[in-house]
Amino acid sequence: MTSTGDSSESSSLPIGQPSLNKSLGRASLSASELISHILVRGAALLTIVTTLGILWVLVSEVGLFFSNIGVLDFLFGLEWSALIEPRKFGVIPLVTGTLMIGLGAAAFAVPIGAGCALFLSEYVRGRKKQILKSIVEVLAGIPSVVYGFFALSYVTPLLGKIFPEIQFFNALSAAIVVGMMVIPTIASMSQDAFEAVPRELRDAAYGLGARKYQVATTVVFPAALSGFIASVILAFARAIGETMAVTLAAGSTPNLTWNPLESVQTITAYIVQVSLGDTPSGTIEYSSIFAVGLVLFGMTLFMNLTAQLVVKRFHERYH
Amino acid sequence: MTLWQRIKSEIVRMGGLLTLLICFGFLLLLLVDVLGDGLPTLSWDFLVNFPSRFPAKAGIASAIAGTLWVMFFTAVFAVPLGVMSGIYLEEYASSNWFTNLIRVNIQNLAGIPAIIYGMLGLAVFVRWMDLGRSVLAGALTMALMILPTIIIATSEAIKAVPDSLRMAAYGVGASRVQVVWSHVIPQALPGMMTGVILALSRAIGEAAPLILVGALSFVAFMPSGPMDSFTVLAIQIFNWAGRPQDEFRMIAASGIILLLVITLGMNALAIYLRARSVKLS
Amino acid sequence: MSGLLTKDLSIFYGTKRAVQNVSLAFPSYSVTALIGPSGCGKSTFLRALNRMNDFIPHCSITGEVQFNGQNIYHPQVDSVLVRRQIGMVFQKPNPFPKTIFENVAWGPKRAGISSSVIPRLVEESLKAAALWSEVSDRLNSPALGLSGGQQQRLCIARAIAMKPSVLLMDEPCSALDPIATARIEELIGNLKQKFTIVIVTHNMQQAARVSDTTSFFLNGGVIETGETKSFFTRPEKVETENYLTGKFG
Repeated sequence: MTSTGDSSESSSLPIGQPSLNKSLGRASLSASELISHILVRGAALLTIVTTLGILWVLVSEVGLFFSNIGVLDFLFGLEWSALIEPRKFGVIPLVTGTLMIGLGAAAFAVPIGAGCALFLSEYVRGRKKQILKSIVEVLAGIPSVVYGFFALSYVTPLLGKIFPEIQFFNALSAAIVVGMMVIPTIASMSQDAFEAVPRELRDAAYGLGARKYQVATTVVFPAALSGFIASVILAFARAIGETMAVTLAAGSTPNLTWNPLESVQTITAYIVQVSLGDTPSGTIEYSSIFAVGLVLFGMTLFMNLTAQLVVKRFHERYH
Repeated sequence: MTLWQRIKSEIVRMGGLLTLLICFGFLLLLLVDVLGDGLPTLSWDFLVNFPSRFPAKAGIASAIAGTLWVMFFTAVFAVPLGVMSGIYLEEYASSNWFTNLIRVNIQNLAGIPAIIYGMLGLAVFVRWMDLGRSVLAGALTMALMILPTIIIATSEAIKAVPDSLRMAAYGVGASRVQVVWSHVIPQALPGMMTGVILALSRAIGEAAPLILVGALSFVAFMPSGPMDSFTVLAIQIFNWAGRPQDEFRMIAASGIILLLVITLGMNALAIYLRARSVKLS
Repeated sequence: MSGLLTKDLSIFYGTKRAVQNVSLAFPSYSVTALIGPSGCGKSTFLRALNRMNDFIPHCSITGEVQFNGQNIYHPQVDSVLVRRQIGMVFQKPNPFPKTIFENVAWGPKRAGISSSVIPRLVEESLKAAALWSEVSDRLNSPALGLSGGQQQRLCIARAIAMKPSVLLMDEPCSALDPIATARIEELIGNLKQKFTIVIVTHNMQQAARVSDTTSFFLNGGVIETGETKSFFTRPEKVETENYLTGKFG
């Protein structure tokens, strides 16, 4: 707030009136204000440092890797055999493994999550809505190892009855349990998007004599489409970043295939495999985890930024 | 309504209900499976023994101790930093390109897979800072991982405080510091605590970063200091779950019961807090 | 020179001028009403009198607001101290989510009044706001449990507990029912014995009932100011007459 009035002579006071000037008393309060200013700013800056740190670590550690393996061989090679001779470092099998889990989980979670979101948003009122939503959220609160266990102990045997040729470690099992894990990501965010659709829109539709199911599917859902899409992208990003469940369920065999009944290895599972072994730093194996980590980081960063962009567009339309 | 419309209406409604029931079904199946496998071997001995090659004698005591040690330090680092950052962003920062950059950055950090934080921790805390495979290195790594989540939760809680409250306080001649600390933060506190509890509960269940930081899979002792090596519940469970023998699978399930009690209990506490704060406002 | 006045005050949102060249003096221990159609700048003007516009980004002023001879926008002046001398009651009652007692006590406590004096100060303020008899037995119950009219009187008590010289009221009754409104109008009549009051209202009859002086705002400027007694029956300017007879606004 600025003042441009001529005020040079008006800072002096008539006698007997309380002073309005900034006084020493307020100055000492400013000292504690200053300290809290510094502490609080520093904390926020830490987040910038973290991002830079991640980038720096990934980039610097891959130096050794890429001085031995060509970038093109890495990015487009079709065979990954990092720990067993003959060594090959083509990342495509790990990428396809990761994508299979991600796409499978999303395919699984999208209809279920969208259904829950639309149902809770349009067909449920009152306290029940919050209770049911919380129960769906529990799926997201269960740790990843538990899902891995569930895959091995229940899902894979069950699938074995339907597909007798299925391998013990397989991508389908992993995709199913990771799908369970990300259902709340889609359901929660989509439900918020559906509920944010203005009442006026629904009123207009009802006023024209539409039925609830028509309003839900042809008015509300399309209006909230970008929120829904953003939630799907985020769910996919979460699925490809999953570690413990896929390591347990899908296995540790890098395998270039689109057959979900086979065993595959994701980027995250490979990183775990190397870390569990005794890999000294300064070796190709050690720096290989940073190379694949960089690929994973790039993928998730891209997904997250895209989702944020989609959400921003959604907000601009309605706020 | 025509008959055809009625059919479509019921299909949509039933379809939605069905998806909800599927979710509950999954939860039920999972819990039943875990309880079925784990309850028989869940015993007091299990809780106080150390792991062993023999499943019958194996216990989870070192993992419990490790989890407590790591979570304590994680909370000590992450909670004050996260809450203060959130307060800064919402109450002190002016709206310019730099603070917007920080906000976008925090959103991105919240979406980065846990394992990448593990790699960061490995390179920075274990190797560069030479903390080795210690509780401290693990805690610092986990703290970095949940920091964005806490910041976002704090920001949301503060944003939810209505502006009329601030104006009322300024109107009686309060200073900025007084408005923030005597009015805004107390009002936002339940929301902030909910976010913190949820973030900590996620950290307890996460194994990936700690595997990278070098939590061991066979720890037959209790950590006695922040520089000791350690293991946590999630990793011990992972280790047992990956073994082919049925008996190991059963004690993995027992460990899972304990882990679920802790994480779901914390989630329930957070939800209860959130519901209470909505009621009070 | 005592009291509150403005000298050529203009208020800008960015480059858009919301209030232009207003010079008004507010006589002590009297009630001045600011009337005018919505959007004419009277609330913006009111908020400038105790620097509440400081919180609006890109809001700037030219000219002066003088309180007891001192320009409150002078860089050396602490806006917090200004607001302790010039208090404000808002359109929608906004008590703190604390007890009734704490609502009134919070401001004085933070300003350094000793806690031995506070209970008596709270009682005096609640009495002066005509709320004491209704709440004296439940001072520790939540303020948000009061009715709308009671909450607004609580906000008035909270403001006068700071012992300001001036009380600014921004449409204090527009969110209240007629009975609550009447009680507050009666209260204003009593308060002016101790305070200088400036009240913004969109209700002409209310201005006629409670104020001693009335100013008519239109498009950011003051068209006419006068003693209320004659203002409503014999306005001088055509625009004033048109507004008063309902031709617009």
